[in-house]
Amino acid sequence: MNETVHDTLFNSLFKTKCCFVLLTLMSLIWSQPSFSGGIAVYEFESEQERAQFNSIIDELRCPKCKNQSVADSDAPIAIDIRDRVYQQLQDGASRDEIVQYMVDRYGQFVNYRPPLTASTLLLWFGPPLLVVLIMIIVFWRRAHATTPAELTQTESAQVDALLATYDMARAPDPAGAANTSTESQAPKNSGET
Amino acid sequence: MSESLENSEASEPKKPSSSPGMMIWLLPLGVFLALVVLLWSGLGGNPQEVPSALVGKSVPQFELPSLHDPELKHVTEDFSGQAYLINVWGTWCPTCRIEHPDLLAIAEAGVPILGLNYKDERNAAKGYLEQFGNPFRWSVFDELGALGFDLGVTGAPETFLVDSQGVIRYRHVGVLTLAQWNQVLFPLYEEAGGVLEPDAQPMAP
Repeated sequence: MNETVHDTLFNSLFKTKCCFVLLTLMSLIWSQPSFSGGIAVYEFESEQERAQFNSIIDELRCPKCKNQSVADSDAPIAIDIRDRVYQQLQDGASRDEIVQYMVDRYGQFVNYRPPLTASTLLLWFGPPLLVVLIMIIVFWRRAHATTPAELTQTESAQVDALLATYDMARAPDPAGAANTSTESQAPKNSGET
Repeated sequence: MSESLENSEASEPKKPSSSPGMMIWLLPLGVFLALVVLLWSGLGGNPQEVPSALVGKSVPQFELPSLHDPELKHVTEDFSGQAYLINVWGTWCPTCRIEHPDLLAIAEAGVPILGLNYKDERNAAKGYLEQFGNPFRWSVFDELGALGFDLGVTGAPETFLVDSQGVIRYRHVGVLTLAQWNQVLFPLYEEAGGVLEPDAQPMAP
């Protein structure tokens, strides 16, 4: 009986693991840009050329599908752009030339790494600016939070008295773990009244 | 008993920070409201509207066969000297069907339209124009989408307004309705040196 339970538990664990491994493998395969679309498989003379192709299509934004790179999208226009990038690489164009070629046709919109211009200043420096701003606020708050910590003499005397009554209330009860709430509240009440 | 105690405890630490602290408590609310305004304003926009890189530039150089006569080649210069429209279409494009009657009306008013048959089959395209009417003064057959690519086309239908100097003045993505033509494109068309034919029938709004 016990063993069968163990057995089925093991089986289900094994199945889950298998599923997980399978899914991981499948996602690995599908994330290869050369596989997306499944239409064109590009051939390269060197691994370096392939890497350059992949990095270029990874940094071009699909003009039709908005939130996908050309590498990720199966939209016809993304396939066209991949073909053009490949063709231009074969013709010996540089990365900058290819990106410029696409920008000439589809605007800076297709560039996932836009150049630094007046209109992209916020895009480039907005996030670090925000971090700095948040840090300033945090530090400012911290600096101001420490000031009210100082107590007057009468206040610290009150604290001492309260702590003393707290210790006294606590000491005689050895098995206090269960009644912590009543314990901690009782002296406070007495202190206030 | 214990509840009332908890309540009194909870309200105690808030008391000292009532006046300057209130601002800090309101900060997330302010940020939230700002986000609501920002995101709300984004909802109204058309996600298909991407600023075109081609507006203000000349029509790209091309040499494409006529749709009706494969032997006849058209080049960019064939169309210069007048304001005209380039309409990107295909028989595979259902929204082009929706646009078609309005294109016919615009053409009837005397506006020259160059039909760019985009990634299509020649016979299917010819049959389509026979069946539904041909709004195009000229038709070029862009089987591989070469001119479409140079125009920055992302799909069909798309309509470009070209002035008499051969410079693209406006790009319209999606169905072009008569209302949009009258409101947006027609004033630009006149500005670009475009004329309507004197004996043309007036367009219905």
